[in-house]
Amino acid sequence: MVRAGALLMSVAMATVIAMFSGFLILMAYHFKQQESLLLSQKKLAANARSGIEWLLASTSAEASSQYVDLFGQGSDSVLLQQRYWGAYSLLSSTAMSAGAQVHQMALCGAALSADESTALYLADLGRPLHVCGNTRLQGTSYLPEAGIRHGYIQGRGYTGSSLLYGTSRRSQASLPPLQGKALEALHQYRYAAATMSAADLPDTLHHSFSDSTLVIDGGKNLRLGNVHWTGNLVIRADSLLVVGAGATLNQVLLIAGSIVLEPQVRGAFQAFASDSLVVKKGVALSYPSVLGLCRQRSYTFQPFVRVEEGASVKGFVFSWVAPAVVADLKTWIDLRPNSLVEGEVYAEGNAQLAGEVRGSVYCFRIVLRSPSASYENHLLDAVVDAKARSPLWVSHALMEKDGYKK
Amino acid sequence: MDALKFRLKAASLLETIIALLITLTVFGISAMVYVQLLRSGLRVQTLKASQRMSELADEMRSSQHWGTETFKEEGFIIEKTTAHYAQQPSLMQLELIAADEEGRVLASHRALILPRDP
Repeated sequence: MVRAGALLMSVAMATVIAMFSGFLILMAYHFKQQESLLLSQKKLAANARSGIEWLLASTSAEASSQYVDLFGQGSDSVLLQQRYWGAYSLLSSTAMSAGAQVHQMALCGAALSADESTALYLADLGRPLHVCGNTRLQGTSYLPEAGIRHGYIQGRGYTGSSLLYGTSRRSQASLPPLQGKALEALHQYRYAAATMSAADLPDTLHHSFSDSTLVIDGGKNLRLGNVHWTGNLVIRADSLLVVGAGATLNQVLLIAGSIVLEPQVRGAFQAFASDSLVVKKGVALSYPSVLGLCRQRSYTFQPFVRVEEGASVKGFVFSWVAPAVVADLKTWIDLRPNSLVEGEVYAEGNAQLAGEVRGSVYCFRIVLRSPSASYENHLLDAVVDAKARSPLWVSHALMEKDGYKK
Repeated sequence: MDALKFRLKAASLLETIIALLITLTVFGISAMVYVQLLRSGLRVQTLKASQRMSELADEMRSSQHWGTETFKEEGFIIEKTTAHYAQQPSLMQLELIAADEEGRVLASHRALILPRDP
């Protein structure tokens, strides 16, 4: 007869050892899975990043969507998409493999070329530019054939030692055009079906650019009070949109007939109006902000952008009228004394430059309005300094250029 | 006194042999698992190599030093190759391969980099 005492003991020990071994096997499997996942994620992230570089290398700013097999082996596919986001381009790269995805996005504009230091581009309408008071033009200026002269307004002559602090070149009768397609894309948001009403939104909202754009309809008039909205949002009002001092907006697009930014508004957003855009005293908009006057239909009044004293904008201020629009009055950009724009100003119509621009001004005609008279192509105490802008500055994506460089 | 009367029964030879066989078999299997687990230590090297590849790619983006070379670093033999990307010649294609001392490939990394203006 075989006794089972030692056998029973050994089976018990074997069970414990087997359980321990099983635990080790499970642990090894878990680590291997995690490692594979990590390596796969790293590869996808690298591919998504390569996709962004691929888009940056292309010279087109137009909307596009395409699948690309990056390295020709069928295992590095990325979906590359590009669309306009206001005055900038939004790049999207999605790398995918076996159900996993890594998404990278970038907001991009145009890189300044190494020799690009345009301070002023004034269209050649056959009249010279007159400089008065403490006006300073620093950088390359594109001027009418009639040139630049000393001026004398309100008892004040020109105080500088040189009319220009930089080189002078000949301008054309029209300005370098803006990308109409980008601005038409903007126009579509105005009439697109609204995703939701402004009243339904929470006070604090971040909406990712990897999701579809939320178009928020504010009705006829909309006032944004204490809201904190960021991301992929288009906020529109049919008539008037007022941004109050308590509102914090970042990356969003505002579209309305008239837009008013009340004193002390802070943020980095793009506002596009068709009738008027007023930036009150003390407003400080960070980079990249855009204030645009876009006119798609005929008008009988004068659409305008006004940047009041003490307000500052880092980005782009422009006026644009669609080529088919017929109007007697030119659009009007009014930079008041002690206002500051760091970036670019593009006035397809008239502009009054009494503030400071650290960057470039493209202007069809300069009009200086005083209480008693208006002066054409006169600058009084205006500062336009192209060299005060960082050489690493990324400009908007609206200027049509050969070999657009992001 | 009752405790002293307890007598432990001895196992038979056959019982002992069977018990030893079972114990040795299970122990052998667990030893194999353990060795396998120890071998997975090589995966740490794989992860380290992969991480280093990513860092090198980032360094290349910053330094913009193109070229083809093989060098030894942190116990890895790293082969770096750069060439103009066939689909868009304005891009550079970077390929990094890390191997151990015995020549086993641990990790590789491919990336496209847009050169900055000088």
